[in-house]
Amino acid sequence: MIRGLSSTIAQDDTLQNQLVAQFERQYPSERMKAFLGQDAPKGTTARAVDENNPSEDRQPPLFRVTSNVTEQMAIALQRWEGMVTTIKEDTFVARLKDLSTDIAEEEVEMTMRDVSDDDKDLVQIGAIFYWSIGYETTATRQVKRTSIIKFRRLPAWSAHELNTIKKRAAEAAMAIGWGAQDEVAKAG
Amino acid sequence: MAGEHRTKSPKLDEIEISLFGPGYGECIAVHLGNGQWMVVDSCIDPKSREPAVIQYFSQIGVDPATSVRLIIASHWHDDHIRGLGQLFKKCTSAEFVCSEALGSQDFLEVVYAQGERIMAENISGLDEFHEIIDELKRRAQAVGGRLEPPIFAVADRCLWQSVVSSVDVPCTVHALSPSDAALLASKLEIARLSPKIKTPKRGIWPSGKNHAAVVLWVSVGDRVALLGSDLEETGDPYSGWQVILKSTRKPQAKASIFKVPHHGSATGDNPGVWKEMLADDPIAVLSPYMLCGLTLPQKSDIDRLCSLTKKAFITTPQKSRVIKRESAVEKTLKDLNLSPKQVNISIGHIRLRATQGEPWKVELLQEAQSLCKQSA
Repeated sequence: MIRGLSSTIAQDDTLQNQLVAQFERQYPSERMKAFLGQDAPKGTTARAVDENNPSEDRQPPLFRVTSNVTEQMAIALQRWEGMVTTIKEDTFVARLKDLSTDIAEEEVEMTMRDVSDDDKDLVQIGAIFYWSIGYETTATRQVKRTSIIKFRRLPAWSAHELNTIKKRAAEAAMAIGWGAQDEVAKAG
Repeated sequence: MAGEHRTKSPKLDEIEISLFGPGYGECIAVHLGNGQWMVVDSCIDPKSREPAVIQYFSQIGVDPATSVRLIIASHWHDDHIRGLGQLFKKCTSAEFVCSEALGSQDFLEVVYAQGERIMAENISGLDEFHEIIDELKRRAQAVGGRLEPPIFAVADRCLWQSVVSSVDVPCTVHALSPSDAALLASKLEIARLSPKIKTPKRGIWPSGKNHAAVVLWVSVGDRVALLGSDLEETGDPYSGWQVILKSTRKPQAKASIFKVPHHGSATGDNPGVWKEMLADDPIAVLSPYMLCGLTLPQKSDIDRLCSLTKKAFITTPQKSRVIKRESAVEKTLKDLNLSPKQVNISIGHIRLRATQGEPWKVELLQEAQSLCKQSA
């Protein structure tokens, strides 16, 4: 079975390599790096040993776990990290840091329709997201321009983290006299 | 020759008020006389990415380490504090002043929570306060922990007074705000921003309110300047400009220079200020604001200001720039009707200088221009 898979893999790799080469010719720049914060997908690979014939080859064959998702390929031409700073009725404003180039800070106003349904609840002031514009090659080998906004799902503050922050703040306040009046008022 | 003049520092008895402003941000440098300076807020030169005032001091041969007495953060909005940490570190003999609204341990917790770095680049301005607090700690350690605490500005508090000899120019700096009510409101807001257990981490962004901004009254010799920060009129009798107008404890002399509050917006305007606190036909200076879909001053604001004085100046014209990108990116942005705009493009500098008894000399440097001409 593993042998059978290998030929499919070889064929897929060839196709993918062709696509990568095509994009590299078209966009021979540093921007050929990533999409959605990940390296340009080269296929997920894993090593496995044919347990029925372990001595056949000491070097286990290569195979790739494939799925529709990994068959797709995406290349980012432009990436930003953004933070929501203002929320209006149907739109929100975000400050953007260009992750592709050294361009100074930007700002954009987006509509809620630009955000996927799964992420809509995450649109709050201070929410952080990645925005990528690039090309995607679909499972049917169609190439299309895409814009993907993905809000980060950050972990919650833990009691330990908050205690550490409070301790640091208290030490700083003591060292430089910051908030001294505040503390006197609280004690009073 | 003109270039040479621009790089000369003011004379010892000459007052200078310099307003720097890119499209987003502002900074004011004031020569308090006798080679002593005060800096209010900070902004970055978009080309060099350095604090604008540091570059300026370097050009006119002022040593920030020995000449700057006060660094004032008028309020916590990132358009007023970009580069403030770097500036404070260079001004080693300066005292740090900020609104009493920030003088709580809750605010330090907010600063340290944001220090957890959840973004590639912190844009809320809290990094600047982090740098300032670290610098204050370093200075305290250097003197064995006997450092004077920062000065917290509140309405009707004298922040600085020069030690006057017979040859020196007398100078005082007073805070005219924030009011007690504004302080309370701001402290509650900061307490709300501090992180809570089991709530998701996210960037910390201050509200757009400016009620705790520090308005300054600066007197150097026979000259007075009113620096309005971003204080707005709230309609509430306990905060905003109304409280300043009602105060009987504020200095009474009228100002001939007015740093127009909140980028000339209608919300920052109180006609009583022009009548009661400013001399006739004062020089008004302001920086623009072009973000969040808001451009200030608006046409109506320019008309209003120019009806009050013909001597109104703005640091930069109101323009924004869409960055040129790969055609495929531009096509996608156009299809989506999205148009990211660069926050800052260029910077301007309005320089006002006067010696005692002489009229003010106005110099419009870099992008700075007359506001009333723009309105015509």
